[in-house]
Amino acid sequence: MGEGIVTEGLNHAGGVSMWDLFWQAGLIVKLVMIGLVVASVWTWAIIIDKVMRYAAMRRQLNNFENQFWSGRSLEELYQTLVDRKPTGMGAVFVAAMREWKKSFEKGARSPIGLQQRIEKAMDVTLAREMDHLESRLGFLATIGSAAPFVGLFGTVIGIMTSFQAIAGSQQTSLAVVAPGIAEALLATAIGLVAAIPAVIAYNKLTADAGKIGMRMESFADEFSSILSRQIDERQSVRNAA
Amino acid sequence: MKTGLTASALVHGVVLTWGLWALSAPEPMSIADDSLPVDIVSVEEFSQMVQGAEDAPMAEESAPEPTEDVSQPVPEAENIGENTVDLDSAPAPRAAPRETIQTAAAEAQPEPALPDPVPEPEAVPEPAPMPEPEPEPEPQEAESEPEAPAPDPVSEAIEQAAEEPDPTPAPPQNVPVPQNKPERPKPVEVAEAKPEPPKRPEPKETPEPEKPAETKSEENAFDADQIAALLNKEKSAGGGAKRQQQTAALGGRETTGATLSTSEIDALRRATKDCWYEPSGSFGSEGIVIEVSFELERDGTLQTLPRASASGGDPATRRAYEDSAVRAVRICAQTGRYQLSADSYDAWSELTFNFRPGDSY
Repeated sequence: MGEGIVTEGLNHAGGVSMWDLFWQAGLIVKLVMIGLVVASVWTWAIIIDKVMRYAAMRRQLNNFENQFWSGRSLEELYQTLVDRKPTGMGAVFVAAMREWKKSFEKGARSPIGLQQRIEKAMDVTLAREMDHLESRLGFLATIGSAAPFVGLFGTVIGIMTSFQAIAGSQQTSLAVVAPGIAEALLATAIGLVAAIPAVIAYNKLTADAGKIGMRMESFADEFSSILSRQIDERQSVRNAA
Repeated sequence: MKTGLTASALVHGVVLTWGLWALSAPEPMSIADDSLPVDIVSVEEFSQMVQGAEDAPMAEESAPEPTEDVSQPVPEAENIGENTVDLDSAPAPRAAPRETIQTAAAEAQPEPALPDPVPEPEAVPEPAPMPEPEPEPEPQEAESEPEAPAPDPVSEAIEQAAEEPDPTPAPPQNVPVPQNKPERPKPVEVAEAKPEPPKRPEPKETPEPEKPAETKSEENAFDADQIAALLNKEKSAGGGAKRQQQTAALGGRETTGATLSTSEIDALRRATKDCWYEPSGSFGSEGIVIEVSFELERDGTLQTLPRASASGGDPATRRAYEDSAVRAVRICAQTGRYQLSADSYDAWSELTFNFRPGDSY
């Protein structure tokens, strides 16, 4: 082990390009670097996916709201949407309508119980949708906070190794020390490269998800009030009849 | 999710490959250390600095900047580079050879007279030796009669000889020897300075007649010294100055002087010793150390009175030794024995010698 370190340290006098720095690094440092690169790849995959998904979601919400407030009958809208396995607002609408239909097809029951069931169904759907919307954002948060530490760990290990090499080669010229420290610092650099976009994206995506969630919730509340008015109307009609 | 992952992987692959190979090694730092050339000049070297150009590159020998302006020749220039044109070297009086002959004669005389300085304090018995030499000139009367009147006519005769090279000046050199003997004591009584004046004018005026005298005596008799003089035809004549033609080389603003070699200082010390007449027979001279210090002009004369201080021994004897040491320095200076090359003047401008009783023997 010691000899290996010594020869490694001596070989450091070679190139100083990025590839050389990576290739000359010790095993642990190499693993750390590779892990951080993989984390960065996954982070960016999540970011790209989420950005695309949120954009699609926003488009979908706009479309649905346009259709909903276009004056079409809710029954018709329900028929068009139920086959498409909608997401977002559509899913909430479909869940509510399904509960509504089930209740009225099987005869009138207590209107207060119906109202509660519809709201419950919408809440559950909303929660499921939000959960789906915010999935994997936690990974971004983790990378954003942990990647610098992981990189620092690689740096510390690398500097430790290079100091051991210096101790072995018994010369302290800067040319001997420099490559080891540079390669060790590369680990921290990669960690920061992974962490910075993760933190920024996490903040941005969380805010976006919050906005979408708010929009869906407000729709759910509006739809719930519409349905409750419908229930009251039907109740009064039935009472009158 | 798949699209995101593939897109991310693709972008990472592209960025990493670009980063790893395109962002290769940074330019190695060029550490250019502009070093200032520093020459360390020791105090000794500085004091021995030779005239040259201060901003010229260093060369084997220092040389001032070459002179090219021929319009203003300096008539009394002495050193190379002082003048702008080559001047004929003016004939300079050559004093040295005659002087040494004279001093040799003078040295021979004082030996019998050595006891004289001893009775100095007594002063009265000194006239007594006067009658003694008198009988000596008597047998020589035939020869000495013409020169008998005074030493002055002798110098006059030499001056005449300067104008008309005659064989006559040769004999007078030998003749004054007995004459000087009786005269010596007199100046000692009156003043020490007197015996020297006759010598001084002589060397300055005589060099010119000297040459003919040598050539003539050459015919008369075989003399090794004269042959040596013949061989040494190169006469050192000062004066004049050459134009500086060398390329300028690093050096000081002026020549500050060379150091005296030990042998030169020894020579000065020896000369002082030779001029020193110890107060002999004095009591309590053991352990006396006399320190004489004096300053010299460039021409070898005294700048100030020499100062002597003795330590140890009997106070009266000490004073006698101090006086004798001061006298020795003055005699040496007046006889021109302190003349050294002006180049090293700084080295011999101030001298201090230590003597012990018995050094002069």
